Amino acid sequence: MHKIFSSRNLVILVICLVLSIGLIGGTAAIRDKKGTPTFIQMIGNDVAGLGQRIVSVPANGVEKIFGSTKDLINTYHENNYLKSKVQKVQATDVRNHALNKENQQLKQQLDLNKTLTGYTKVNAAVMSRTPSNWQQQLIINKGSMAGIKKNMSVIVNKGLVGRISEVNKTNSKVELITDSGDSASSFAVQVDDKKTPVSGLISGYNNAKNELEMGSLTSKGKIKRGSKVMTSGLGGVTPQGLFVGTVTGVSGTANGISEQINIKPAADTRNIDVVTVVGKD
Amino acid sequence: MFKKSKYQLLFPIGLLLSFILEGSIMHIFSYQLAGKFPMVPYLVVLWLVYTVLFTHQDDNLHIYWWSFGIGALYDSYYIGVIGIFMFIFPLVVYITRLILKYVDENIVSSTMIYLIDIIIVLVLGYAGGRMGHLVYFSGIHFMAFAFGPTLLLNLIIFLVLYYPVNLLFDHYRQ
Repeated sequence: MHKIFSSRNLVILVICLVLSIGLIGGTAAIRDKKGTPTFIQMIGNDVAGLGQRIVSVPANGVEKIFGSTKDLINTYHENNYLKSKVQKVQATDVRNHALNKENQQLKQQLDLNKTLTGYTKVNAAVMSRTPSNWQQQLIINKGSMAGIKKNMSVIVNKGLVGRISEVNKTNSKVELITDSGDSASSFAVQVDDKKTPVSGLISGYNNAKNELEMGSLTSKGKIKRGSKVMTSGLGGVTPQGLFVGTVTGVSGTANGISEQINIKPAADTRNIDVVTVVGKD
Repeated sequence: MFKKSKYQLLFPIGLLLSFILEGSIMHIFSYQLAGKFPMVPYLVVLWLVYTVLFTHQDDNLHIYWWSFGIGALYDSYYIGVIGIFMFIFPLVVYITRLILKYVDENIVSSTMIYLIDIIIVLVLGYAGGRMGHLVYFSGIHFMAFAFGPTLLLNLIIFLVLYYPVNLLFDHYRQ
């Protein structure tokens, strides 16, 4: 009869367990501190990314075919809606241009080159998503060679979706805003509603309702439903003024002591193909 | 000799392909898979279990080393923290072999074995993620929302691909 725990197997098991815990602890610590992983790990990641790139071309092609048929059906309604929007956009564009110019002049005059709203942009495509049901991460096809650094913010056209958590040479990992693991650092946000804006941190994500939770509020007060939530730029990591979502309500937290604001994220983190990575100059 | 070399080519290619496809499928169907009930198609585990089921131990595939290596890559490329799936994948291979010593291989017993394997992957994977402080889910939440649907999805994939992959391995048996 074969014994499940022969002494040899037991030794192997214990060694594996110790190694596993050591490796998890070690690499988790490296991941927190440094942007780039160890050299060997980086080579592996880049090679795997290359393979993924080859596969993702036909795979994304198939996806696009499905997507475009869906788009075709929506086109008519969308067109009508967009027509009404175009005029407004043009007006805003002109105004933006003027404001931008004025802003630059004022900055020059004040010698303020590094303000919170000045940032660089890199566009990237999403290659894959972490196949895990306790972690929400994307892998994008630009890395340190394109100028991406750790902790840069990642946005789609509708709003903030996450931040760069690891940078390799040719690809990097994005920690989504909905991923609020212990090691994930929170986003500093504020509600732009009242005269004195309420600041706080994105502290969690309600998977069932698809809502973000904003905790650590600076002040209590009535906050209107539907008011906009932006990044506050506090902490110096995330640029100021990136759109996060709209308020859906205020509720008590699980521990019953403080309040939290529930936010409907502007960008759908379940459906991202192209992102823009934003970082301060 | 010829038979051996054919398996030795089929197994690694399938392994790498399933590794890459896992992320791609997760991305393409992210709206369905990462929704209210987070599900993961564990294709690498699937391929490892199929290989154990449809080949003999004396085929000399170095399956432990391959599973160890692909696990390390999986951790590094997808998760970002090494040491979780690196040890789970070989464990799955070991458990599958262990049970196969006592039962005969057919679709019912294979399904049961695969069920056990997926439960191991889910529970130990979650524990590992918890250790690395990566988890955004509470344990109860995980059990309630992620556990059942993931099991179901993987069972369906297993059953759908069982005969095709069986035929594939049979084809290279001569």
